[in-house]
Amino acid sequence: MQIYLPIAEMSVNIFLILGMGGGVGFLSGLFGVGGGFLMTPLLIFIGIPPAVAVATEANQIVASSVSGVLAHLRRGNVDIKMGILLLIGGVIGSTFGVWLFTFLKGLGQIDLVIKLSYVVFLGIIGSLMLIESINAMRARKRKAQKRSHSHNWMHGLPFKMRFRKSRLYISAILPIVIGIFVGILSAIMGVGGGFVMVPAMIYLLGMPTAVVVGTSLFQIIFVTANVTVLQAVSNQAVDIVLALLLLIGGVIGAQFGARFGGRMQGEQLRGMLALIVIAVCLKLTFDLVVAPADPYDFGVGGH
Amino acid sequence: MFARALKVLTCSLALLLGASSLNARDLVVDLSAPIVQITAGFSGTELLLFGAKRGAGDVIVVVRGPLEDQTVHLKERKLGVWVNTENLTFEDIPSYYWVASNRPVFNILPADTLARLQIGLDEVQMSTVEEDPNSAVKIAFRAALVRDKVRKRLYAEDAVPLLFRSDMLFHTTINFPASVSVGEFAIETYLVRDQEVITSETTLLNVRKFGLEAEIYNFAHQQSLLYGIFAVIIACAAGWLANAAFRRG
Repeated sequence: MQIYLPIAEMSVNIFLILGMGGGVGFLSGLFGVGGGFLMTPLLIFIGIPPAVAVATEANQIVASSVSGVLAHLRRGNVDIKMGILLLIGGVIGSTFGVWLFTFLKGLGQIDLVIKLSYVVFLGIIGSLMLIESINAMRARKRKAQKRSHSHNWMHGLPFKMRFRKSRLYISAILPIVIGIFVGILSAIMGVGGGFVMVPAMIYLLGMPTAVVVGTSLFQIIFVTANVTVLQAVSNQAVDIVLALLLLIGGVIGAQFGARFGGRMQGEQLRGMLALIVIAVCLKLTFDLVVAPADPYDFGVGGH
Repeated sequence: MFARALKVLTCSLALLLGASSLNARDLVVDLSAPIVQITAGFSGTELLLFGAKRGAGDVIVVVRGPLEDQTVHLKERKLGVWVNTENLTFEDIPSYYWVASNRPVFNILPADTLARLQIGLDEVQMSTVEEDPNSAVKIAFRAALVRDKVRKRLYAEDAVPLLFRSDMLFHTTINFPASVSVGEFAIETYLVRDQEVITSETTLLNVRKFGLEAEIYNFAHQQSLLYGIFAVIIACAAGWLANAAFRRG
């Protein structure tokens, strides 16, 4: 059954989109990530214009993050104070990111920048996660004690604040800078940024793992909401029909994924996720390096 | 197939009944529908064009969609990666262009007439501001753009034959893919005898989004800030609903 997408201005198979939403939703429920880094390339792959894919995916992530954060709030796993600081950075970063996106679109280089960002970040994060999970699997065998975070230059920064939920006393500048960085990524790549935010919170800030996912989701809601509104205003690229279809599939898939994931070990899950991330990265690299079928590329509009 | 044959038959009948109008004119043309409506289930459509002519002669039909600007980028390998390097913008080109005739157009009309009337893919006017009209670069970019349009089924030349039913009646089908632009389409039908255009008819066709599709599109383009906020509210509501539904289950 075909459905016409009013903003993407093309006709897609309704079951294909629902299935994609379900598949990515399953993985995101399984691994506790937003799944934007998988969905946006998939949407581009089936022919959705990259600008529409990025903007619409941001809108879908708003929904999946709201759903996730409610569950974490009930368990008391959200550090609101930390979230708000990350959010301040996130709003600054994503506003700048959407401006950058529009600018690059005018230059005709937006597709390249989207793809290159994916290759670089998926490559780095995927490799780091794989190494970390292999180490964790080994450490588990040796029953090694996890060391607490060490003191370094970051603890010399001014504007120190106390974060009770995270049991931290650190400078407010750190979460704001991380927020800005992730905000830019989320505007350009159409992702929530959880896959960058979560490792940054654990390894850079030293937050306890339990509150990381909830806090990350909390701020992702606002950053992706900001991206959605800004993309709607400057590029008119948010397709509500597409977002709703992805959402329906995604919500159902995520529930199955979460149940399935409960039966597996954390390190194994992270290792599997790392392999998927690396696979997506390799596929995108392959597309960038191999000669295209037609060296000419087309876009509506001037400049 | 049967439905289509029936449609041809009814249309032909309608034409025969209206043959009196043919006395006044040498050429009468009509479409199976004056409007193409893009609704939620739209996945492209085809229209039947039918008509009647008086006397011998060939018929050429040219359909042109609303004008648009198109930028063509050329990809080149830089540092091992394929990057957009050069680009050229063609201004006011037809977003849709389609030609049908009962035999190849170059057998019907001389080259200079085809060029003047812009009949055939090589004759569609595609002008740019940046480059002088006959440069090798422009010719290569233009060829690439036409190739892309043909691949997307937005440009076609003799893709579907124009058929004569008798000495008088003719018909053909015009195909519109799902990615067709909205706006006013002009359909020119030429009656040609001895390498000369005897008469021509212009038929207008309106392609527009309809119903919910139109409302969403207009909302997104005319009140984009409100639309963005609306999209976020819908997403929040959907997320909350999903959470509530599965909490109970």
